[in-house]
Amino acid sequence: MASAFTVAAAFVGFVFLVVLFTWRNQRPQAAAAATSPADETRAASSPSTAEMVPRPAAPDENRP
Amino acid sequence: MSTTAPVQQGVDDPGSPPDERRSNIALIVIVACQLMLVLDATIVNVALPDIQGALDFSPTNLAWVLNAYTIAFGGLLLLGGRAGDILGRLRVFQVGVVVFFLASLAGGLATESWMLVAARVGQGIGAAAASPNALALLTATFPEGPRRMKALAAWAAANGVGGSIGLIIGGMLTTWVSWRWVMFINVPIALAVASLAPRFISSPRRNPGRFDAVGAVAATVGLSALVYGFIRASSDGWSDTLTLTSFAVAVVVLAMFVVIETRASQPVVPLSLVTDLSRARTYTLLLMMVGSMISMFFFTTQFLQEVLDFSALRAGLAFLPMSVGIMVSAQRTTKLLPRLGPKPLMLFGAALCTSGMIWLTQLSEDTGYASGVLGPMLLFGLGVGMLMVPLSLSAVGGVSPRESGAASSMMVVTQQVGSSLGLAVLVTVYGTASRHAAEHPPAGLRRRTWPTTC
Repeated sequence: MASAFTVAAAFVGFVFLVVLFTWRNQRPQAAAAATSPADETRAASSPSTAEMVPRPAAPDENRP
Repeated sequence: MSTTAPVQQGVDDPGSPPDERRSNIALIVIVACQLMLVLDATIVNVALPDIQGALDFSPTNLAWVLNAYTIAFGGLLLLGGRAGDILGRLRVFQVGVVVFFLASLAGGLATESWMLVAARVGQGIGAAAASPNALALLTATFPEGPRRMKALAAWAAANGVGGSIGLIIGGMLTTWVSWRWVMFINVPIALAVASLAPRFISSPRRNPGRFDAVGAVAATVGLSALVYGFIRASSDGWSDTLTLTSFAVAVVVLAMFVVIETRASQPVVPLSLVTDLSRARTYTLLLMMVGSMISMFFFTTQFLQEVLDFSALRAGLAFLPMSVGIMVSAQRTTKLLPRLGPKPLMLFGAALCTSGMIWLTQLSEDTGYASGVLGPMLLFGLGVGMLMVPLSLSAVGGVSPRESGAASSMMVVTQQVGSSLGLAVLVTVYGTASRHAAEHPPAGLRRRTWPTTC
């Protein structure tokens, strides 16, 4: 079983390395700010509106 | 099939005042549905010996109680997500839940082995329609921002704890009532979800379009062959003829699928989703994460039941600390994410998971639960919560509404393929090492603790 857990550890170790070397840290506050609280609650009660009117593209936290 | 006029379903009044209570109930309904679908992958496993006795299954055919669900679910996921985009997500979600309800009822009433396998296929079809659309409805209900973060944390927690909860509930029902109740348990949940969904979940507008029928068939055949190949590899080895044939079919058909999608005006999966490097990276990390998580469930359960001699129920209960760890850390992650950003949390989460896995490599016949299993489970559970929330946000974030169904499908497909791939690889590693060390073939591993979605 140790060998299987070693390979599984390598899987999550790979995740660690990829995040460490390639992930840009960007706090998701920017994404939250792109949507005002009013927009958010309106969209929650009527997502159709939110879907039909494209909001400004929210900066994805992991896009370069 | 094409639609011309967008319609709205279940929307009370577009101008109605904000109703946080309504969206909270919507979240509960969606997460409850996802939990039902996820735990169904493991809840049956515990009941397999009873099912075998009651319905006179041969040992070979018994595996199809698990495989039928896995293959139907994995194979139809992309189609389910695309159907939601075109026909309406709430509608397809509801149809999926109703199909799941009927299949669960039929499975509980089965008197022949083929009836139960057919019911499991029905459950897989229902899950494939419901799961990606549940996620798409969640992202539509909660726009990007703190509320989506919390909603996705609940979603990720349901995925994380579903496997262990399935083992616990399956053990309880099988021990105290009957194996039939591992199917019947879905009936009231599915009924509640199907009846509450139109009242509390607002349906986004349908996106007029038509099915890319050829692409849908190719996706279904290719994914089914891929999932079956991994299942076959874990039970019969990578060099088995049927394993190789399945992979060959999967490669050829999925290659055809890519070609078809590049030419389709309205593809099942917009290739921009997978050619976007950052999103492709997120899918890869999800794949590795789920592949690792499956080993935690599979091999630790083997250890608990075969070395520590735990009953199925006790083994399920032994996973509770990990479930609690996932829930607590997913919730904390939503609070820390705006302050710290995803990177430090993901690094810490991955470090915790890796530490837990390395700790588990020390398991031996002398290891007790408290001394050698509890600690790694807690570490892994806490790490999973920290990783899954940012990964889920990244997988479905920044997608146009038109493509949110496809993006949700891709995320669920990634998890599904990751669990099949991870199990196949790790069982092979285990089998090879065992043969060298003590001549324990991989067939010695029982497959009854296989959560196919995490």
